[in-house]
Amino acid sequence: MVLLASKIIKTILIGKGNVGESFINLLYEKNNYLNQKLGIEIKVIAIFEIDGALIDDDGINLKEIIESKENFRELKYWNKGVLAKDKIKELNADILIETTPTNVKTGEPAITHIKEALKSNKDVISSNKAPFYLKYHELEKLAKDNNRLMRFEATVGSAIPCLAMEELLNGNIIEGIYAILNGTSNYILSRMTSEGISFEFALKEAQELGYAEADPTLDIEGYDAAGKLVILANKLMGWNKTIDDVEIQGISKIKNQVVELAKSEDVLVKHLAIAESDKLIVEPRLVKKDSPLAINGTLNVVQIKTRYAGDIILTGRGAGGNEAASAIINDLLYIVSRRFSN
Amino acid sequence: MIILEALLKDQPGSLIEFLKPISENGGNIFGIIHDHNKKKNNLIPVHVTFELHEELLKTNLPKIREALEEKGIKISKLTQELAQQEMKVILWGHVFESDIVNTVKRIAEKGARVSEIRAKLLEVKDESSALLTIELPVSIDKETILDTIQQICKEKNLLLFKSE
Repeated sequence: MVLLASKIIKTILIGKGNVGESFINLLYEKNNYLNQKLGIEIKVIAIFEIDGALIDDDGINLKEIIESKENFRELKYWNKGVLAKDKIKELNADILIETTPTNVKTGEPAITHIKEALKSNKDVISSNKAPFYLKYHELEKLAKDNNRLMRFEATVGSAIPCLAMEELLNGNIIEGIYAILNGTSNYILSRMTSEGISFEFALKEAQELGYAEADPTLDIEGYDAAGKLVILANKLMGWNKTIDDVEIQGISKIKNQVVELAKSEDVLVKHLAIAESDKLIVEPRLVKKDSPLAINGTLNVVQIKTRYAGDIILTGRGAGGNEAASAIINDLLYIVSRRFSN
Repeated sequence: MIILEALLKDQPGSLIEFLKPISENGGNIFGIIHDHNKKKNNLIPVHVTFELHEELLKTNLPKIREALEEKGIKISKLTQELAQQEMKVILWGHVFESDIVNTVKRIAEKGARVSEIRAKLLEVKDESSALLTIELPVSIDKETILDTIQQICKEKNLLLFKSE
């Protein structure tokens, strides 16, 4: 990649939660490398939180932000009450990075943030899934109409580059996807299988280890996996689906006996997300022990069924702040390479 | 796979004459057993297995029969053994109380056969799980059978676990 010398790229970060903070840390760690190797300097000119924003048109000192920890509102950059939706348009930035928590029903305020950015000539990166399983094509069209780039690798499988497969497999045809897209439900089923414990016990264990939320509904009832499946199918196979098109069955009704019976036949019960023959399904299925889908613990796996090369399998950690942040940096470099290279 | 059995006269060239209609109608012969030790009344039993492309089955299998009969060959067996496929499903709920015989029969009505049932049982009143091994000819789409099972499960309030 040949870039113009010392190109400054200005970014806006929305959300200073786990992913947002991990992104700040990783960017701070990598900025020197990016500068020396690629001749770019990524500046963060605004960081929005729910009650205000840190803003500096010349670039916020990331070290200060990291060191301030929870006390960032006391920094000189803090503007109380300034909200992203009102400010995005007027900020002079190249890329908007959306990391707010997912609102499963409305996708807001992330959808508004993304739309505002695209309409004001900013490329977009998002780790927030809801906009893409609720309004994928509307946002894609808006990006295209405004000649903007939009990347959201972190929304599915976190650092696993499954959405990048669209470009990497351009010479092939993707005919189906079989995947495990939720680490929490996979952890629970893995523990039920290996330890013979009940669903309730495995869930409690997952919560104690921080793998499951206090309210685990979205994970165990398949809604989280369904959202990711929609994004995968739309992006990799050009489908036009929303989460309402997914047939969803959770894992909370699975009893030990079923897992034990399956195990005695050398098969495992796995919560699969399947996109095939114009159908989207998330449900527990029986998977052979030697199948690439027979992964354990909190891992994710995506099995891409191609017409000319059989199955291509990607696996890895599907969640976590650092994992998502590394996917965001990848998206950032993708945009930089398209926008600013010679 | 098609199995053809007939009785041939013990005379030179009769086996060649017998095989001609098979090859002329597109049959690919896999094996021939022509056992002189079993000769009775000057007739020798011959057992041939051959394959006929699916598209030719309807048109050419009757032609083979016709041609052999015209040659005066007595056919004792001409059957098509369908290649089988297998799938496994697990049912959870009141699998037995909700009439498992009826479940098996309804699957059979669609052309598949439940060849094995393995179950985990607690008390009679409790829910149970059963793993069904189902055999079906390759000509029947697995999805058709799974749709039927899904429908049965819906009616009987059972949870269905399909294979990957």
